[in-house]
Amino acid sequence: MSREQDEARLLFELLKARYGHLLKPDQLEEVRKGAEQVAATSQELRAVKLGENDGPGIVFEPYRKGR
Amino acid sequence: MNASLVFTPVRQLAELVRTKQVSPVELAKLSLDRLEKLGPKYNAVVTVTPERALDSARKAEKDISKGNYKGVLHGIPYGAKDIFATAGGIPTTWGVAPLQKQVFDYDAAVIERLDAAGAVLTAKLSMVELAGGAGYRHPNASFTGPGISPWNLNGWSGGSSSGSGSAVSAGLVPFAIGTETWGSILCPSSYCGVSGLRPTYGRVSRYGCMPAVWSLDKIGPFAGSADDCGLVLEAISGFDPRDEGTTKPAFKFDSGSKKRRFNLGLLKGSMDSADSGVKANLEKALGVLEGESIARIEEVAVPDLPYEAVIRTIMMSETASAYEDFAEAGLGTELTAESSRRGLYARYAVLAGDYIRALRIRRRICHDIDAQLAKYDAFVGPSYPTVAPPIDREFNTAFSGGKKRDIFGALGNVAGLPAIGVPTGLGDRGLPTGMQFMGRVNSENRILAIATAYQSVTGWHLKHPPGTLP
Repeated sequence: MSREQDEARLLFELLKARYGHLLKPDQLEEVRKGAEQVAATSQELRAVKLGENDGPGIVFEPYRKGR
Repeated sequence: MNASLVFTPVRQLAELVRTKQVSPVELAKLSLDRLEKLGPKYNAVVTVTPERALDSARKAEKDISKGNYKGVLHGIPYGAKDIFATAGGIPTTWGVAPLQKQVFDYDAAVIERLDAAGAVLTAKLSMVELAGGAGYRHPNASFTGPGISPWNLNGWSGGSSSGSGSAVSAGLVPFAIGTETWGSILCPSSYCGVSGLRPTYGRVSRYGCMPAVWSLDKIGPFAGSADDCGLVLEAISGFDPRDEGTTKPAFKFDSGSKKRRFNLGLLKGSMDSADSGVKANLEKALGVLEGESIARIEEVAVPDLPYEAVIRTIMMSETASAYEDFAEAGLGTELTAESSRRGLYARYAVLAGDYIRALRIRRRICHDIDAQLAKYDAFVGPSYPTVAPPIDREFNTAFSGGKKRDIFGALGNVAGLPAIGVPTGLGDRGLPTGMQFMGRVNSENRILAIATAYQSVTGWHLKHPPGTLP
């Protein structure tokens, strides 16, 4: 089993633990395919080399009422 | 009432209303009548709003008769995607079966702004359930049925702003409002053969709009021409403290931009997965742009980055939070399309580290694409790589070669860039094709000027689907 397949399997187990009670067996099978897609997409992202200055572009703004 | 007003551009309608040659009440009645009679044919409408429409139209007529003319949208009917909250007991369903009775006690900001401009809401228009944010693979992903392109009753209208595209295309309303996260304006505008404008991220307040992907959602108009899209965007744009994503200053439409030759970059590879019809019509359109001295066009390459993986990861992560209550309540299992049901739950598998990685790559994309775009007035490419698929087919199987890639749409939305889609002709099965111009942040006037120049020498935006002319 490849690392991607292994990750997809574990992600599916997570989904099953959280939402398995809501889903029928055929729907769970579809969710499993969804977990495989998530794992595959993650691999594409992780293949991009990023540097320490490549931040996420999120700006946190501390809050004070009236300012 | 002259039925030919059905396809009259907003700018001309406005002049007829201003000079009292056409009554807002009669215009509203014409729109309401067509929505009732033709709307069901295209699964375009969720709720027709006659009481609100006639009240607004009568008020507009009274105001105008007293000399209180508010501007080009005063007394003009429109439809809004059923994603926007509306007061007065009018349901706001988000395209979701279990939410058919959902009501709000306030109007969304975009409805408020159009109200202030004197426009007349005649209908809430159909959409893909949860704006497609749950993931879907079939045209039938809405409790109102698959949206239908007026050009071919077996062709999908596109989504998620399905009814906004088809209602304008069929002449049910002169303009409509939709939203785009990834393709939800450009796709239906292409599939329905109308003009659709995706503004820069932050141009239009999303207060009162169903939250889906906070860092990607944008609101924009559908209309019969690029010029009309500009008029509508001016009315709906502007800072709103209730939506922290909105930016200053408000958009001011410069319809009188001086004609000049524009420099366009044709995105390398953007036609690779396009339909033969989309590709052929785009090539003809590029020929017109060059032949009429509207544009110089050269091929441009963009960095090799996983644009679709980035946008998909951001969408899945943010919708996982936006829809969490819905999913936890088990309502996901009541979505119309099977693919939406499983898609909703699979997104909870995206890891936080991968989401942040997607944001980091996104930032790089923004910088890289802006540096490329700075050399041009706009990028040009297909609005969408295909014509509408049949309404009974899964997207993955509807096209030869399987699913089509939409790199142009992915990078444009990831970077929050404006784009206008305009019709370029008809392709397979008599279905429309489209071309988009995508510009730098806040360059709507530039891309509208290019699109308007194209539409001034072509007539595709003036063609109407069979059976829609009165």
